[in-house]
Amino acid sequence: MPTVVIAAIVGGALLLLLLFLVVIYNSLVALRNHFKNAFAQIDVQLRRRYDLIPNLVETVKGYMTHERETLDAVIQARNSAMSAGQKAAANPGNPEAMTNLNQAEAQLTGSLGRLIALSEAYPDLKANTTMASLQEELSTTENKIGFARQAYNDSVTAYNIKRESFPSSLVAGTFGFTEAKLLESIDTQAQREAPKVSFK
Amino acid sequence: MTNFFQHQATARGRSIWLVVYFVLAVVSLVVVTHFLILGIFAMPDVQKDPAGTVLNPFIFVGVSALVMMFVGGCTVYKVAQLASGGDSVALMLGGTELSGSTRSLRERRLLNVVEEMAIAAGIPVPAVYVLEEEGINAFAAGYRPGEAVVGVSRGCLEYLNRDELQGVVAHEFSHILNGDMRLNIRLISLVFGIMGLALVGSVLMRASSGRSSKGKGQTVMLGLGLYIIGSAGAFFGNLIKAAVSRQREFLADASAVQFTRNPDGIGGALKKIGGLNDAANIKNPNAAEVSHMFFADALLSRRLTSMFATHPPLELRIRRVDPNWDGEYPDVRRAGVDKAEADGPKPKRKLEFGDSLPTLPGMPQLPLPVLAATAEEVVGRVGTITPEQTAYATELRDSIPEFLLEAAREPFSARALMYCLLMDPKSEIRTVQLGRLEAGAEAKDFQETLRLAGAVTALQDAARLPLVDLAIPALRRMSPGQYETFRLLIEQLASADLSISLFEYMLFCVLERHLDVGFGRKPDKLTKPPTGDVAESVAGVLSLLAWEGNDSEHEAREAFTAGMKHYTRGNNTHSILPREACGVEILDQKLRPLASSSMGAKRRILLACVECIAYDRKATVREAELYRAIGDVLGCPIPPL
Repeated sequence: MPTVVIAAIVGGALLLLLLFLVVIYNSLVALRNHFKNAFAQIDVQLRRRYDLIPNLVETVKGYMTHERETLDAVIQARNSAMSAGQKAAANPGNPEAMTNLNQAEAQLTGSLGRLIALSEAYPDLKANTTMASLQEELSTTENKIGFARQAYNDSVTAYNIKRESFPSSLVAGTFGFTEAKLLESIDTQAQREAPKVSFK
Repeated sequence: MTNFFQHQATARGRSIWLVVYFVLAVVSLVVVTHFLILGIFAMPDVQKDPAGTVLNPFIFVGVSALVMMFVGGCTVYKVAQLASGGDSVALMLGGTELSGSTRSLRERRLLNVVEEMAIAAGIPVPAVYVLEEEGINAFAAGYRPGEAVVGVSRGCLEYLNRDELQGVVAHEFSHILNGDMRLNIRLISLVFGIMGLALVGSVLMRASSGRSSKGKGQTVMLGLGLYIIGSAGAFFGNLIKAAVSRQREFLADASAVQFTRNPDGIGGALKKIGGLNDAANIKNPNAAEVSHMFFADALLSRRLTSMFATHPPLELRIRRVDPNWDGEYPDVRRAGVDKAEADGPKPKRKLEFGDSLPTLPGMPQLPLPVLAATAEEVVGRVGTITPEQTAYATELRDSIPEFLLEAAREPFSARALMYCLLMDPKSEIRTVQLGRLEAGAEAKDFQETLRLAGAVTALQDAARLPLVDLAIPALRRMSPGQYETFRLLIEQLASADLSISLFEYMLFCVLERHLDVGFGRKPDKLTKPPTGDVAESVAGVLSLLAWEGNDSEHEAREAFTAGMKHYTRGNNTHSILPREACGVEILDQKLRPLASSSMGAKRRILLACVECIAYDRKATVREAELYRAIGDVLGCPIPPL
């Protein structure tokens, strides 16, 4: 008789343990899916921004004939941000891809900021309605990106906390739940490298 | 004539039977496992003293406790996993949520179709997921309508035209409205629970393969036995699951025709599945578990054996929808899509936008065009969709300026939109609200609110609630932290005038029922059946309705009596409550407890409400909103009157 009892207790304990592991595993998967989904929301807005920039440059070109370099820098930054964005979208949370995107986005925001600052000096350009609506749309898109980024960072944080805390860290380690990286605030980076306007 | 209430009642009845089957299944599992264990471990004892060993309470209780723990644990786990929201199912199947700001015309078309259906049915717009699968298939998931998601395969977007897409979406909405999803989740979990036993068996067999000596043979035998018992149980479970599912599919097909009044839509979609070889196949490995949630059978192998088929044969489904079908499947090509088709049919007349309407709910008495029907017909529309309502929904949506629609589809601006909707027309209260907003919200949010506020105040009243419905999918995308701030601000804005208006109450209801759960806030659960005098509660609700819908005291009295007479079938002893006593709180105090009453009782309450509204042969926006609020509290989706 005792063998039955022992077998049952061991079996029950094993099953409970298994169930427990499955629950942890699934909650990790759910959290990972959540932040991937959240990144998809940023991605939509980022792409919208990349689409807007060539229009902006096209509008500005006619007025700012002497600012070739700035315009080229914006286009270049836009292109590299776009490719970084595509890589990040293919693999959201991947530290390398996210760092690249962070840097590319910071560069883009910086060069865009310079362009906007320079355009202040052209009264005709300021009066142009296309320019005004483009700028308006650009800033709305940036707000949306900011909000979606906040949501993404929240869900990445939730995932990382779960990943690192005991006992889920055991499951995460075994099944290769790698660390996900936050998308840093583009605003603060842009502030750090604020456009230098010289009054020579 | 079957209606929403009966379908819901049937679904509930089926659920009760499921519980009975489940208990029976577990009892037989316990008995069989009991004998298995005795046979393996205690054969000598049984031969010595058969009665004493078999009836040994110690063994029996131990075995039953273990089996129940296994099966119950697995079932509860599965329910918890699937009931955590429709999005978990969609993500499990590898879907990605469609963003409201999508640029693709095909995706835009799908979102438009879903939005129209949702407004027409009077439920918040469900989240829409796309599965990257070539086949034509779709599913609906979610425990409650508020957490519902609709998933559509990429093939659907590519091959189907707008009518067919509408047919498919209508089919899925029927599942949402008829309470099929809850039934589905219970079925899946039940089968999974029994499968858990088989799982234990296979684990035991494998675990013991490394060990030696005499215990080994016994453990392997126990494992094998459990595996067989579990598999056999799951076999019969799957049979029940498939049988129930097939019935609900016929119902959903019929409802799709009823909703769109266009058999060519759903019929065409089914024919295209037939025309495209193996078109409904879903490759994702997780599809097997939720196979009966799909629009068409997602597993090729299942379609061959009709006993396990979760869906009736394709030919039969097509013939039920289109009796004149010649049996030929069409040649399927990718359907083109242009802007006009994506936007949907243009309304014949635009709803006059602005139309010198007062700006906030409360004051206006706007006669609505519809309501030429009897109360029976109006209540019969609960939980259904008519083409007129879809057309009305399209018109209503078109009357909202494009940039507000865009704002509603984006989490950042959707919040600002909700803040705008709460703005009070009185400037001194508005100042208080703006002050609170500026203090509580980020600068960007505050600016966005100011940007949208003008257009929102100019909105016609009938468009305000649909705008909330449209914004729900975007609001759902907030992170829990963002949602907490949002809820706090909503409460602060609503309480600025020190009273809760009907619209504010409705907004709270919608948020509570459709968002709070998703963000882990528990709604107050009502399980107790209504106590006290139901008629008295109904009298309170009707008093509110009567006062809100009529200008003079005389008319209000008459309307109240008309409603009460209908409710009490002639012998009404209640009289209308004084006007001062009739605030929105009545819905909370009197109506909420009634939410757990039976479907038939709810229908009677709604009938009485319609009698009361229709007493003067016209319905106002205010009455319509109140009616929707009453339906919402009772858990019945109310289409626009």
